[in-house]
Amino acid sequence: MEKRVLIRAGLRRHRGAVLSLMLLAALTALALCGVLAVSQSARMYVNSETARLGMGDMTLWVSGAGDGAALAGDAANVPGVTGVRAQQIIYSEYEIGEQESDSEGQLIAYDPANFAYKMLESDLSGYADAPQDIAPGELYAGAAMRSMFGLDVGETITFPIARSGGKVTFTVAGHFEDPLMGSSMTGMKSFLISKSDYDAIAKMIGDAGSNGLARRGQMIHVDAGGAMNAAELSRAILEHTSIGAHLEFSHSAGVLRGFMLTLHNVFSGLMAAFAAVLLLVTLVVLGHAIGAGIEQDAADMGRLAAMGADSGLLRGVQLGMYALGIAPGLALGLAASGPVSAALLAMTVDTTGLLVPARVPVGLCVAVLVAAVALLVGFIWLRTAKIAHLKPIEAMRGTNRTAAKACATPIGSMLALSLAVRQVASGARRYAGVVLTALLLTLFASMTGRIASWLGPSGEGLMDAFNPADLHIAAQPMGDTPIDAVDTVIMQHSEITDRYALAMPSVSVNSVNMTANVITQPERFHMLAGETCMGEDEIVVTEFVAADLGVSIGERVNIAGPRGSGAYTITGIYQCANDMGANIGMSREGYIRIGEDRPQIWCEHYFIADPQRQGEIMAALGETFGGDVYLHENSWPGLFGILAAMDALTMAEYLLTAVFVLVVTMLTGGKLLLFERRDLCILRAMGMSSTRLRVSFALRFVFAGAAGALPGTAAGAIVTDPLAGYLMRLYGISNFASKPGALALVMPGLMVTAMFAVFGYAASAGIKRADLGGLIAGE
Amino acid sequence: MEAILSARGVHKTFPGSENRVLSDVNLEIMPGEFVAVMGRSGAGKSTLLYALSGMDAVDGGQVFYKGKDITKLAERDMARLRAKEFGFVFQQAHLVSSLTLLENAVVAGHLAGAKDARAEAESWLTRVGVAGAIGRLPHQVSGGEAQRAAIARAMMGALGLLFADEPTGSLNKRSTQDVLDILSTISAGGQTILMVTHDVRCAMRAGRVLYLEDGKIAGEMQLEPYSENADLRGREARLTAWLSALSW
Repeated sequence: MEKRVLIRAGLRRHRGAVLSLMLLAALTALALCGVLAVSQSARMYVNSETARLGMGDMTLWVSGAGDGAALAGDAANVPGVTGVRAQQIIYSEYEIGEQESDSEGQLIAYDPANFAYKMLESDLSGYADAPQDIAPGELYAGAAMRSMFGLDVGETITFPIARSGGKVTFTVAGHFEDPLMGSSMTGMKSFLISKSDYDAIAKMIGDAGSNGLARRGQMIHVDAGGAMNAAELSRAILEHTSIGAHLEFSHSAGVLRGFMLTLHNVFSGLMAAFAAVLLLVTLVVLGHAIGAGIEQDAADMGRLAAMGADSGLLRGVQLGMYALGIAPGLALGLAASGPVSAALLAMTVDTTGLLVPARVPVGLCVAVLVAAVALLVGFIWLRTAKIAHLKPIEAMRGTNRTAAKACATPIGSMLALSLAVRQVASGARRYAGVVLTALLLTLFASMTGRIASWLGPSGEGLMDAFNPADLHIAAQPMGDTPIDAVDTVIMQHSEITDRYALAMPSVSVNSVNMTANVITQPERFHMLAGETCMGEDEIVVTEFVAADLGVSIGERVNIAGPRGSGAYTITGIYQCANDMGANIGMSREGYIRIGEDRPQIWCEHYFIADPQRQGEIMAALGETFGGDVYLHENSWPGLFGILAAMDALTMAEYLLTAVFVLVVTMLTGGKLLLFERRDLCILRAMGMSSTRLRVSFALRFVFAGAAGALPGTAAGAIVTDPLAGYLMRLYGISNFASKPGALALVMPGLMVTAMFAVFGYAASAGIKRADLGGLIAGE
Repeated sequence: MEAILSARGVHKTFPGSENRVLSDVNLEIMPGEFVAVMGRSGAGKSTLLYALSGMDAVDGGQVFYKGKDITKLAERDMARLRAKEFGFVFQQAHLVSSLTLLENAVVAGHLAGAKDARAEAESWLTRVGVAGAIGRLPHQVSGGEAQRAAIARAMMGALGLLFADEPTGSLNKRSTQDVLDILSTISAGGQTILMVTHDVRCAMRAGRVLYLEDGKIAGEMQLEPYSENADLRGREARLTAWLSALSW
């Protein structure tokens, strides 16, 4: 009974601190549960949708095999395969307005009876009824096409099917959800068209013969009931069927899920790191609040102890009081994580391509929060231990309070400054919370800043990670256009300073299907370890491949191509995040041993003297060669969607950082005002204006914030790249290095310190209201 | 001679109360005067001090300092006035707890615009007899030493008026005597002092005593200037008799 009365009284007295902790607990729980909700919902949704559509354990893209029925039949007879489903597709480039695609699209014949894709409403906020048929001349595009190309309902999209004007134009009737390649992280894009349009285009391709630009093909989904891993299934299919001769590329369900979930995973990884920082900051703030609260309540505790209350009761009261703030905060965060994650998932539909329904994994969240509560309760119990050593009479007299220490800092004529220095120096313990918070938040903001810096304003970091080598412009003649003609157009605008050629054929490495980056200048590969592959029997592999195949530098692997196979030595590890890192790199000479050296496979990569004119050159090339030359830059359309999502995430993290700084400042400032009310009143009575006092008060937060931000910045310089690098490695990006400028290095610390200054000034508003009369009354 | 401080029709009511704590107060303090305000507990003595020093707002009336109405001053101007013209001594020493005795005075000196705040602070602290404790923090010195340091702090700069609110209220007999001696010495040097007290031994150090009753000036007594050789017993007797006549 008495405990309840005391807890109630404590809540009244410390409502500011308890409410602040409630807010911090709510934000921490929101971040933790939000991460779990987003990652779990997205993972479960992609799994359930690919299963519902019957996409199996592996999808193989083939061409040149008629309607593909024979290949599908062969695949069904492979030992261990439990089911095969095929979709008729047409590979074709496409143009939307002035924009050309940088990779082929896939026109899929709409077959709702067998592949019941979900159609989205025009504003992508929900699902629309799927049509029985798609009207001729209309198509459905993935939702990500909106962020990639701004493709909306009613707009047109053109597919160059054959040379000499053999184009087909469709009007967008709506957007659909493609759980296989709908994300803007995936270069290949699917479109649903009517069966009649499909047949008409297939006929056009047949009639065009060698003038055809598009190709007929199939997507073959193979299911092994999960009994074989990707390598085993791939090996089995290639060994028992002739699919290898028609294969464009293949991906396991795991790799495809990786593509689809890249954004969710990056978001979840960053937010999980942030949630951990928030939990630490909450602990720091809690520790500070308890310390200050005990100091404030010491006299009353002394009186209660004199009345016979033991330390167990007094500590229990503290525990109860803070637990009553934290527990509802955590519950609030958990409750809010549903709508917040739903909003997040809905906001990113046009980037992820999926309208993922938010499902908070309540059991998992509760388990995580219970662990957090246990941590916090243990911490409270530890921090209240000093109550056991309280001497009643000392506490009542206030002699137990830590008196200010004499300090050597001089009081100069700049009073606001020197008083601030003095106060911080003589009462450093009271600013410990601010220092630690500044350190942690600076460290985290550094990591966020590093990722943003690495990403670059136009996503250069991501592109460098995805491309095996650097480039300004790349051009690949699709027909008879000589590459010299491309050179001539480029040189009309800028000098060509350097060039190399790159081909990306499919090969099988130890029977696992992969993309080979075949290059005329192997020294251009982004090497991470070892040497590049200069010899004709040498290759380089990504970290992902090395780990996936269990091979390392110096070992030999067997590589099969269209013309044969051979043994190659791994000479190094290079970076290429394309295909989630499922790549190998080799020289032109190396590839010729097993593959065909046709002019059409080579894409010429140029470096120009004036990169500012890149856009102009691309426009000129497009105008001159139209669909006859495939062009791309060090970018892809989906990049902007990703950049926008990363910018939003960065902003959200900075916003949360600001909220935490605000709460910590208000809490610390409130306690300081309480403890120093008398001194502040005296200084006001002595003639120091409230504005000057407030500036001095804010300066203390500047000093304390800077004291934390400095080691935070130093720690950030040392550990953020490895931390962010570790995070990025999970997504196939091996050599994360942000190379920040001096300003980018110090900016997070400056921002955090500036926030403490602004909020410190705001927290000192009470100085203006300090009642001077109280001093005369002898309070 | 023009009054250094004057009040005209000052009145004040506390929020939630119908009774005026100050009612139509009119008074004048001349430069160099040592005026004591006496009255029973709750008569409004401290409230009058807050009102006259600009530490608290009044509901009506005017307070002039050197001819300027300070009730109309903005917070910044009022702060400047307190820094450069007014000094305060409270019942408690009210020294800034994180500053040493010397630093408390130095801060006041800087605020008052003293040219050499440190030298002036040392000088005042020596004059009030705490030279040996100037490097100590307030909690490291006795109540008497702290109060003497508070007087030194109040005297920093070219002080116009020293306000003292029960300056000996929390001191023992010996310290009370020391503080009163300091105030008398300062007063003899020409410093204007307005002191609120309920202690006759304090009030008799003043040259004029005002008696406050129910928020009004109910009486005024002029005393000959205090000196070390004054007839203390006679002075005390006269003051006590006057106060008795006012139902003290």
